[in-house]
Amino acid sequence: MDIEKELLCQRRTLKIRFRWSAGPYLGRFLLELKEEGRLWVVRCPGCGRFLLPPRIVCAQCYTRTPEFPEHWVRLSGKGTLVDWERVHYPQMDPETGTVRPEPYLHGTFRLEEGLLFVHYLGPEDVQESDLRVGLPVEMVMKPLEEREGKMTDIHYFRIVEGRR
Amino acid sequence: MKTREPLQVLGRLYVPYANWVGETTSQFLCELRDKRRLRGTGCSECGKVFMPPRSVCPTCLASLETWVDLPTTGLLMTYTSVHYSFGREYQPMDPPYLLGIIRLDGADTGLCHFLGETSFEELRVGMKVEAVFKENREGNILDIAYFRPIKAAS
Amino acid sequence: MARRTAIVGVGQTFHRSRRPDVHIGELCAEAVKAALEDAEIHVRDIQAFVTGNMELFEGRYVQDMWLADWIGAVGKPGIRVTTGGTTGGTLASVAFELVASGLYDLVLAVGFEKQFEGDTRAGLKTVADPLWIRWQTTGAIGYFSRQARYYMKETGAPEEAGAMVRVRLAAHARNNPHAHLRLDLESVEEVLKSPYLIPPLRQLDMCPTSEGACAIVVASEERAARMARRPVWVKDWTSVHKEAIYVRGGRHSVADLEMAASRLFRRNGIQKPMEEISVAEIYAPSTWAELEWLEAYGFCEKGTAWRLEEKGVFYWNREFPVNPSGGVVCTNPIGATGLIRVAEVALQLRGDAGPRQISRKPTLGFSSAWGGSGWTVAHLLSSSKD
Repeated sequence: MDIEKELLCQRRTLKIRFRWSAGPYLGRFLLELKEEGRLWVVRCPGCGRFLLPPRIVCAQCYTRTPEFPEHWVRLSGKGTLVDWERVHYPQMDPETGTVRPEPYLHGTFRLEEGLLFVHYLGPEDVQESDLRVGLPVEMVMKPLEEREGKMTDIHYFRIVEGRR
Repeated sequence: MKTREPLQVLGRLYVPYANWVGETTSQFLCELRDKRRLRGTGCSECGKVFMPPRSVCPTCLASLETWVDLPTTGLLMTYTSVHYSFGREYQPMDPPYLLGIIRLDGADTGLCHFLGETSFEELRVGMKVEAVFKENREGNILDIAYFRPIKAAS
Repeated sequence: MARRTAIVGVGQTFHRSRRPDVHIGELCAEAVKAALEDAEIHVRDIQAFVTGNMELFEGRYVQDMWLADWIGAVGKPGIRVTTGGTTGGTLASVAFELVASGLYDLVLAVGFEKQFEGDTRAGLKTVADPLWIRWQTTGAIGYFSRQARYYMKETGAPEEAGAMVRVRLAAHARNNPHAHLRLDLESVEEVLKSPYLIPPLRQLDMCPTSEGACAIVVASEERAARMARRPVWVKDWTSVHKEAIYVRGGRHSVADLEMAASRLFRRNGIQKPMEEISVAEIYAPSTWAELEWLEAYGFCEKGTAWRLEEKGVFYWNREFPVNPSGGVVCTNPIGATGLIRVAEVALQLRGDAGPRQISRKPTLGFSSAWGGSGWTVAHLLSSSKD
């Protein structure tokens, strides 16, 4: 008699906690985001480009950048919609093991200061048919008490009211 | 300018995995679960008997297809005691507990397992031990509850 | 001065979506034994081992230690390589370097992945910087949907172009018994019925998650002369990093691909890559990446790859065979994927590729690996020593 072989597996969940040091550049950026609800960049003293997120050295010209606030520039959080994409497939968040409901929208934004930025495009009921390249957008922060010093302290970017 | 403490961001990893043990180990664990039987595999080139069984010889990479019946008794090769706790998720038993490496009679390799019905003071390298099986077995190496010293008949 | 180096044996598993019948050690043993058999040597002849995968996919760490007694590496020197998507390519590069440097005469490299054991999408997200971008990354699918969108916009390629690539790769994979997806896709229409992941990228445009392993044996010139197989000579190799992408907005840069290929071609006097190179096994995780990257490597002008695809020139029996194995879109055990490219080119140059053997006379071959936010490894292999 040919019995199908039973194959075994061992199931487990890897659960590890971390304390990631954000350092004086990204750490300062995240603190300002959490407490003031603003984005900051550092301007490279060598080649003049904005570094977002701020970092200690420019990877293009290798110039050391100063710590906050010298050469740091506060951004307006406003810009225009460059493009967006609709995410259709379920993905597990490796921090929580939960799956984000889909579909949802990701946007690319051209900030007023010229930089590109990527975040969710909200709110949840935003209609794709209302979206056009070039529409003005603004950053929406989560309520102060919900912020943790993470990029997700930004709730989403939305089309500026009255411009849909 | 106000100085600030650098930020530490609290993060975590939470990812599920299912690691498949393969045909050879599955067969070993199923027989352990269903028949309380311990079988190793032997290499015809090197002449070694492996417990737990392997499908590939570590020395010559030959495929090991010969199964060898082994008793549930063996020799204690070495032992230690564990006193500190690093979380029940990563530890199969609350400390303190005893761990030993047991070479089953007829095997050439050691099997790491718990030692029970004994104390650290009573243990000796080279003493005879036997496997004690769990009542409810699930198909993993912990279906052996522990090994215990074989008491001389009195 | 670097020594001449050759590939003298290759082996791989039959790649599948899942291999519950073997654990990681046994999977690697299959590939290692196949490579040793191909080279007609015993594992004791190997002097050093290079191993690699992406550990986050299986959640099992320090694989170099756990693998040693499954690949015959006990007591021997070895190093683990884990460079993300490029792992397989880097495995080959490190093996080449260990031999070219004069340290060893016979080195074995093995790469593997068992993706069914973990959550590939969650695992891939952990690659992203946790402080900055991990929360929002959509992994490879997000990256390649945008890549496809911009390629279509800039070149005017219709949706059918990606589907044509898929049909070619399916035809190639059907010739390759080792390929994971060997689908009977005969027409563009069938591909266009595939559901969207992120438009315009469809499920069939994207690589699968596979379980499999690949191994190669690398020898010095002197040792290669005493081997059973005709050596495949390693002409050159390189790797290029881009600046990490912190904001993945707009069009993705292909600077790393351009730099890697142009460096290899310049150093080796190759002026017309498509004429001088007889076969390419490129690491392209999607159909659309394959088109754009053939242009980035300099095989054809910008915006023309999809026109050439229409004409069928990339088929295995045509002018410029691209991924005659079926490529990454048909088989993707990630830690092995880059090494499979090298192994497949080696088989082609030896003339041992069986039903997938290219029609063109094989003289020079190009293989690549890609990963992360812009990291390319590229190799140039040759059927002749000089």
